[in-house]
Amino acid sequence: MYNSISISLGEMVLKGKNRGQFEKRLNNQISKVIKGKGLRFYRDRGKVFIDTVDELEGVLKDLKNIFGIVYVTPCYKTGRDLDTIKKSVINIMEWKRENQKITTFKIVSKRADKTYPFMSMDLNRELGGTVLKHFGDLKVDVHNPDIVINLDLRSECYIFTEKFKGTGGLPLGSNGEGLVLLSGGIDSPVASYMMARRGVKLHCVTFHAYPFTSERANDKVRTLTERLSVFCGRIDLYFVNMLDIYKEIKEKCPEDQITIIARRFMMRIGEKIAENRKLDFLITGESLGQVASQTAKSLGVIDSSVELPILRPLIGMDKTEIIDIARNIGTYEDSILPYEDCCSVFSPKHPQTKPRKDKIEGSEEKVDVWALIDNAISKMEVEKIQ
Amino acid sequence: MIYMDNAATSKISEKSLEKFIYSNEKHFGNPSSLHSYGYECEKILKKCRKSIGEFINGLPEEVFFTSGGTESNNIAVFGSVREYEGSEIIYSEIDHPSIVLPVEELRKRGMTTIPVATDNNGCIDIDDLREKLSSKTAMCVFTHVNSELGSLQDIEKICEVIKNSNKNIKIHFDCVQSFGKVNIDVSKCRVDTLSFSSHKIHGPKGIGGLYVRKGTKIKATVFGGGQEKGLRSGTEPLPLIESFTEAVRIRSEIMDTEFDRILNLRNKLIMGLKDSIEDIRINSSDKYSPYILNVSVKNIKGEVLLHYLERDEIYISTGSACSSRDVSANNIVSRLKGDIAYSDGTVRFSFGMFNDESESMLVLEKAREYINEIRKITRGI
Repeated sequence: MYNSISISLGEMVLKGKNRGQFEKRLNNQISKVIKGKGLRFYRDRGKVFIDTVDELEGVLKDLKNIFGIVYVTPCYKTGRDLDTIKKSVINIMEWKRENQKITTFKIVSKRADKTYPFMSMDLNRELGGTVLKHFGDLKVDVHNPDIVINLDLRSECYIFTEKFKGTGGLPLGSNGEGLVLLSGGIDSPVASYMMARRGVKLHCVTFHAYPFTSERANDKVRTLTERLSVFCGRIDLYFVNMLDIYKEIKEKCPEDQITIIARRFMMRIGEKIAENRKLDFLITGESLGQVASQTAKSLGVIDSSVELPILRPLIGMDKTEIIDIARNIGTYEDSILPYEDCCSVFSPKHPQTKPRKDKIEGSEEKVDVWALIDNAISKMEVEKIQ
Repeated sequence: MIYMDNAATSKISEKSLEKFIYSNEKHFGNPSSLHSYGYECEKILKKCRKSIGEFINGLPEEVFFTSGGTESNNIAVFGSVREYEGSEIIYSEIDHPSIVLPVEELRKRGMTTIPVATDNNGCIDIDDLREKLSSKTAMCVFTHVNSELGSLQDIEKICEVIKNSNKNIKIHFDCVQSFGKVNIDVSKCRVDTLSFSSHKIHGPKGIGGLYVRKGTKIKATVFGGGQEKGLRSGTEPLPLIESFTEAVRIRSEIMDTEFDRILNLRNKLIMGLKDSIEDIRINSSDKYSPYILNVSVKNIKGEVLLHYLERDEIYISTGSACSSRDVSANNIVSRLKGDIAYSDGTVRFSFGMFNDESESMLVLEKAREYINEIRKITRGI
């Protein structure tokens, strides 16, 4: 029955002069969804529509994953003259009654085109009367109806009875590009999602210590990135082996500083990758107080290793809240697969929770920080995940 | 490539593979079909059943083909038990998940499950077994050769103790790691059911069997076309069965000489490991299958050594492949011996007919080199 999809945009409609840029990004994303399907999208008085019958279900599903879209609505597109609208409303009601017990209804009209000769209230009344007359057993209930038939009057009339929530946020790429420090855990994929939802185009770096960690651990990160790419499009994933760095730290620095120093190495490597690719910031899944390297003092010492901003979208969230999002975006099940990452392999029994910057820097003087970083980056592997 | 993970699975032998291809081309008919071609296939199936029966000194009608060890264990456990409430099943907690998990399922259904004690090398404590047998015992399920440690249970003695207590108690043995490697003679032990698999003895994957002693009542858990006397419905995969039978034929010819050869290989590897690596333990009981060698190295992680060796295309295991990804469950060595400094560093070398002494020596050399390297890096992790 449905022959079109309407797309409601989120907060980007509030943007002023920049709105065009946001819309351009969103258009790109929508184009990717309908590519190869012989479809096109168009605007009807500001709102985006895609006309389709055969591809409706699939396109609807894909549109829900696009950041910047708050609602997607399957609708029946029809002409604007009153008789045509009346016939269409009756057809829709008949169709809906095939699978649903309907005894009460309500008509809600909205005119994006204010030149339309009927006021919304008049239209509601007129169409309500038509429905009552056609179906002898239906009643109007404006408070709690079994079905609401909505009319959206633009250059055409779009009739719908249900709408689906989209992801919201801002179009991908409309808010810069960031490099996520992606482990195989629960948090960093959620952090990635949250930043991508605010329009950040993602790149990811993951640290391993093969052969101290397994290839399957890398594969887990690969799978998580694939899950993210459903929302975030193509992602460049960088694999960096930290084993030589860990060896040096372990040999030359105090054991309880290993975690913090390694974390500072990761940030520096991240910053270098970001600088080369002109990325705007680093993103981590850190949440205050979750582990030793995520105490207030530790985060401060970690921050001081780089100049690039480090965004931590999960900083104030509880683990249970993070897990809920991970489940919703489909990364949780992969995140809990039991492969060790390099952090857990080399974590000391009693890591420092209140590190001092001067002491950490003192320890770092014993190792050739930049030679180790350059060496790690030179052996880095890159994969494009789609 | 040096493949020393034969307890997980083994490479198919050339002759078994040839037989598989030949059978797919020439014997693709359904043995249940009424036409003469189907009958030809049925005759071949009968021959295979006879050969496998003879290999363990059983009758052809006592051999049932299944998809492998896990399915056979499940059929035996669920098919042998008649009542859940008020009856008991005795098992060993260190056995393979395809034994332990069906037993746990029986517990959920109301049966009392009683684990038997083992010594710290995984051998069943016969006195403890005797004490735990009661008038309520309906079944005992054990494993002939433990897949991680290689411990070899005295199947004849265990069956005797159980049957002397009550001849109606059903006995099932998982013989997946012993079939074709150590001698099994069903006429000498009073086992009721016994499972075996093809891919552990250089046969194809996806085929195995269940021995069911004549007269033993066992009910089907899968229903369909009534093949395998209704115990395991489903069209018989004749090419797999023929290929498996070929693997069994080869084993019947070489089993004794292979046993000695592998024992020698194992002993030399043990000697080399003990001589060249400090703080190493051989986790072996007095009675063992030479095909499995379980070793614990102090202050390293077994998986790290495994990954070091894989770079040289040397493949070993940290435990049973069916459970080695489950890091939440402690490995058997840590459960039996409780010493984490060692048990974390547990690895398993499992041998097959393609391993030779030169491979074994290379593995020794590389293991020595990498253990030293890992210890140098971790200094105690």
